[in-house]
Amino acid sequence: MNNISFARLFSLVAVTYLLLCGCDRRGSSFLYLKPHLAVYDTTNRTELLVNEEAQYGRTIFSVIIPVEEYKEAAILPLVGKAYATSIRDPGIISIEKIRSIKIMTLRDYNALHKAGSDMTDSCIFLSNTYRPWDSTYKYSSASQSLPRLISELNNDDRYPYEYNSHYSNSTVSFSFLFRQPPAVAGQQQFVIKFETEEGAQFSDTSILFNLKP
Amino acid sequence: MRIFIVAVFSLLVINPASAQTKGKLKRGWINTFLTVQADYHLNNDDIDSSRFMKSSNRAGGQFGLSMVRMTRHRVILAPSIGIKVAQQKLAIDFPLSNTGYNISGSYSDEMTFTNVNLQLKFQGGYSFLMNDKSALEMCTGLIFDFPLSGDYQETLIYEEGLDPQYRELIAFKRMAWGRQKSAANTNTLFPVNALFDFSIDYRFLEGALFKGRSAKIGLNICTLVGGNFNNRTDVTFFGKDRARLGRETFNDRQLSAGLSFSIEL
Repeated sequence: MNNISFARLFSLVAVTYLLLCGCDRRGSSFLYLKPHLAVYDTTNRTELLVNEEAQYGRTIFSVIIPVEEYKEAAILPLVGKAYATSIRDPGIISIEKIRSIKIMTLRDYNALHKAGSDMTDSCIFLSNTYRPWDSTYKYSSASQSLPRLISELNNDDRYPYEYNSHYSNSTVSFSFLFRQPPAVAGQQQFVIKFETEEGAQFSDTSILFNLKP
Repeated sequence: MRIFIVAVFSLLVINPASAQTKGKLKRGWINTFLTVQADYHLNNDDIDSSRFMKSSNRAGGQFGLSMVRMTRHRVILAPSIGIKVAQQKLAIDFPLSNTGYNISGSYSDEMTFTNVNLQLKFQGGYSFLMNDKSALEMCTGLIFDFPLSGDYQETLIYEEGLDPQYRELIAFKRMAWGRQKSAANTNTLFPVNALFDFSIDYRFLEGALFKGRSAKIGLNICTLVGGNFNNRTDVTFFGKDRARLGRETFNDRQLSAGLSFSIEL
């Protein structure tokens, strides 16, 4: 084997290695952490504090779920970036699948919904088209059914999480509001509970606040 | 971009002038060696935090064939091919009192796997002639490491009895080793890593140890320099209400020390 052959062989191996190993455009999977059920006043886009007052027509509930990300590790990032332009966006996979979402009231809301009752059927769900904490986003009235929301949450690629600078974490988010106003003005508090296919649950309780019809 | 890089390297491959060594080197002898090597894999420091997860140093081995060509200036060029076997062991011990629940005991787990890798090694070095019977050879090079075995597992670890109705998530374990990759990894690349290698061999010249054959004993160190298919295990621990207690990651540097014996065929 002469020297030229060695050089050729070495170059060939180097090219092969770069072609085979070069790209690190990889997807992520994530786990849900403890959610946050926030109550927002849509007029001034502020999150209500304990015992603050809100008007039914200007109140929206936002569910922000921080996630624990698992990104693929690549050890040649410079080479990876060079190739990344030719690769399509990778998928984002939720490790746990959500089986159900329940919203319950801890106070008497109206004649149909007493304290401790399930109010899920009385909710209008909005996907992440509305983000009260982000002033650049406009209100979207596009609502969707709960089964469809759960399906999107569980469907890879269709409901990506994103980095939420307001919460300094990557989050999954959606919003909801109630179809009917409360019977009378008074203190309200709600719980959102997620149940997973694996039989686990995670939940959050909103602040106690005053809601006027 | 991919086409550009291929074009640049193709020029290197097909243009003899770029690989010419100005006629200084003449065609030399090529000796083929059969090599066996015992390795000691240094894994203790491959975990970024060892609060709940620990790794162990493990023994391994490899065997292969190398073609050693020495020029008249005693420069060594040595491509080789071999199979490397490495055992890995990780242990988890997570005291459940850390979860925030009033509970004793701990979650324990042990993960073992065996890497079997095909390695193409390209070494260069120099041979110091010590006397008429022996020489000291120092070589360094790059190894292209193709994992042949592998597995990928994602495991959600729950504890029963902390909540009357539901199971409580206490940990998530993601283990990827060898040639397997996760479902989130959508690229279409082949599994290959690159390792740096350095070896010192004491060479018994022909007749010194075996009649008509030379032999070598050597020391070798090796470590990972790049690749997309390295051994990696992430374990995230959770407390009450999914409070994140931290993540511990085993990221195999593939640092190993070896003792080898080679005999000329």
